[in-house]
Amino acid sequence: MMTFFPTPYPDEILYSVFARYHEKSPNFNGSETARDLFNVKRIVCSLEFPTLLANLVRNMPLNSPFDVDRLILEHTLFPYYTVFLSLENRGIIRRYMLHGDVEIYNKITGIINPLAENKFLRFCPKCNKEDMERYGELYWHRVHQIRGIYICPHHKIPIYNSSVSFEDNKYKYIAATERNCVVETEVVYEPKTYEKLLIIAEDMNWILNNPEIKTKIKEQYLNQLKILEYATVNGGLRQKNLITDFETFWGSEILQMTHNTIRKTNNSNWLLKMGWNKATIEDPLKHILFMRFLGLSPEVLFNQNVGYLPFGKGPYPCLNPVCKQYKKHIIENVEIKNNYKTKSPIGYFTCPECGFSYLRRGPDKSIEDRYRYSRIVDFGDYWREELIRLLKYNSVPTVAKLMGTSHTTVYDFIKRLNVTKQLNQ
Amino acid sequence: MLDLIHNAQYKEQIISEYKGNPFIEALPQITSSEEVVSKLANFPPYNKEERQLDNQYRAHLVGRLYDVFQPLMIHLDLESRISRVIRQGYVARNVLEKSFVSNNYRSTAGSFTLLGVSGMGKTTVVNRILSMYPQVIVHSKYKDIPLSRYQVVYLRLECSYDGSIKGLCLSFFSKVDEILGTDYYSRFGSGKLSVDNMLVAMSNIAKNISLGLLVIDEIQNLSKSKSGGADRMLNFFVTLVNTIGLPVLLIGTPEAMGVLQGKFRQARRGSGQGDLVFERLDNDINFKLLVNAIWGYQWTKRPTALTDELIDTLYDQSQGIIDITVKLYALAQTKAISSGVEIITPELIKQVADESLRLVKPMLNALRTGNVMEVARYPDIYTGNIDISYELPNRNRFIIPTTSRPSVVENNEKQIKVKTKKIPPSAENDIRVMVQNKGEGLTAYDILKNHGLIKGFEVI
Repeated sequence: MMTFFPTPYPDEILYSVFARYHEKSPNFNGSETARDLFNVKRIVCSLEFPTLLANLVRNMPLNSPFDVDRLILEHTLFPYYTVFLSLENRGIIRRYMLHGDVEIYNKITGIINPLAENKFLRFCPKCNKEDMERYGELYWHRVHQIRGIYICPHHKIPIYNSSVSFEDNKYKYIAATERNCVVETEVVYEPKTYEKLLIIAEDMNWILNNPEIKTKIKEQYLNQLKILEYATVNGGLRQKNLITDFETFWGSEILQMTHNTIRKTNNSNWLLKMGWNKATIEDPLKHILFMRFLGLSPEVLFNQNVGYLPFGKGPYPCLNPVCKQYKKHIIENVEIKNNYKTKSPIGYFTCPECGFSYLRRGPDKSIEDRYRYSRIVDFGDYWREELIRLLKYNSVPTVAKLMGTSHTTVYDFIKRLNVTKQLNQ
Repeated sequence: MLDLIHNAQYKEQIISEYKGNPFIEALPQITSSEEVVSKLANFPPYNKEERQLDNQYRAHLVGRLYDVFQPLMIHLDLESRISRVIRQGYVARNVLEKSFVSNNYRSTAGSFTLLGVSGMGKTTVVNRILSMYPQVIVHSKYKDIPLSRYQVVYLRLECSYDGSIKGLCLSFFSKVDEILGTDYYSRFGSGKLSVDNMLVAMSNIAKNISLGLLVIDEIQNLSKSKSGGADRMLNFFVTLVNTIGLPVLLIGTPEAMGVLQGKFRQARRGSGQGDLVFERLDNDINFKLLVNAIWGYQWTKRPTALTDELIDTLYDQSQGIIDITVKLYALAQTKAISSGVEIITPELIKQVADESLRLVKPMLNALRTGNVMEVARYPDIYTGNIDISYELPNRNRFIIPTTSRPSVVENNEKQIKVKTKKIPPSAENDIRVMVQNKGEGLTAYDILKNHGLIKGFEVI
């Protein structure tokens, strides 16, 4: 049990709170601290998924204001790493963090990229300077320990490795000090690389603090893929285009730095799984790379529905020139089908008033496109009646003009009309 | 454990240094002297009808006398010092202050020493004063800042019987374990750790539990510690005061004075509140107050009014030592009850003193006669100064004959001895001359003594 528990600083990772506890405690070694904190003799210090937190809270002084779920949410990387998990799986990991069941560790390896593991605890020199001035001591920031982050999202400067390595200190909690956080050589990234790294870092920070997805991610991705024509209306991926465009968008440097290079030959390429309904990619970094490539920010992706609307939002106008509702927005829905050859979307529009039906090859490029059709599917009864009515008094070219069609169509129509008349007679 | 623990309630502070410090704000309000008196005083119930009970019951009732506590001026002084020392000590140790967090603070702690003749109720009064504070305060939230820690306002330890540091550490660990439920004793008290490591652990724990005041009783035991032990212990207290900022209150009989004066100079420098000595009471208003307070507790069948003569007799027999005074009065009552006299007279008191206080009689006699030499034989009642650095005799006044060292010429082949001359006794003040001119049947000892070369014990 503990006689005090240090109050965590904003965005301080729990490991750091434990380290500060250890430093102030009378304990001479890590196992004594482990006993104070968790009632166990030995525990591997986990940065990302600390375990036995239920014991931790029980060992705190009476009436402790710290609640397990708040600690997990505000002082571990749990919210970031599990944001793309199902509620059920999130619950499993939460339980694991509370009671520490070793078997569940396999679950965790799926959501973190083992290649991107940090060998050292990391820090931002400006954050450290501010902390020293504000609080009088340093601490390990949560956001700096995310796998694949290179820039401090607050100060927009590179993050550095401290001299504290995990390999050597598996059973020790080591607090940040001015001695182990030293910038030896200043890091400067290429401006282009820097910009990309900054976007990634900012998105990571945003997700860390807003770990709530209100939309269906897979649908969002697929819709956006369709909009950008990386996917057909039926959901087929244009794999080659997608991979090459993705690689040129991020550049091989970034992909290497984040340990997310694409293996073209491999069918189990993570990039292609992004849009698949059955496959699961849970590493948030991959999602960030993917969503940014699709031009989405996490804020939009998580909160706003990305509709696949190649013809814009309804209602759509009726394009029957003789209809009373001509060019008025009366058609509520569009039926989208796939073009066999070009795989581009085709919209089918039918006026409920006159039965006039047209189709247009999409997607629309501008608002004027709404008044264009590629082909008329069916003229509708009203149109036919009107044609017969007009033909009684007018010449064929005039009728064609009035009906918004060519005279061949009108002749064609008359021919067919006569045939039916003869048949009726 | 649980009944000791209080949830922190933060109170508005008047003094600006005390504002914004959760540890100080959680303490009870600073009390006025009237409140202190009413809180310190303890007057057990007394019923006049009890006087009519049978002897055997009354003999038991007399025991109630020992529970009477009458606050005196010096107690108020002590209370105020303790109150100041605790609060002052917390000023620099504000967990919310970044200078404290970065370990870069100036200690505001002061230590002070309470010395007093055995039987003056030092321990009792300190306990009573400390019980005005909650011992453990739990902090969980201070002005929207979540805090999770215990504040132990005071901890009372007894200096181990042999004055060893290890004993002190061990009793510290077990005391903390007792009030907080920790396992420090088994962890740090086992044989694994050296005393130095124990001290490190102890000072860390004191810091962790935000200890307000460390009271160390029976400090005179230090004089029994092994050579250098007292020194180390006192240095450790200085460290506590100066580096951790933990106020320390040392309590002891005057026997501790030698240790403290000889070796506690550094610590005294750090003592912000000065030292307090509980002298024996003088036969003045204070003593009267005390006797008045206990006099009401009378179970003899015939009530005896308090007269000056009785007070004087009590004073004379007890020499102003509170414990003895109360005991005498109680014993006199039992005697009056058992013998059927049922009245308390000066003679009875004297008789009881002769019969029942035989063990302390020599000490009391020494105090009564005022013979410094006699009193000094009992270090726990002697409150005078023991000046170790007495004046050295003037060396130049007398010639102590010395032979000059034989000068040896270093040579590889042989050593040539140079004969040394004896210095003949010549000067008047050569001690050899003095001794030779003795006469009158005096021994050499007497002569040297007469010349002041040998000091008698009474000179000190």
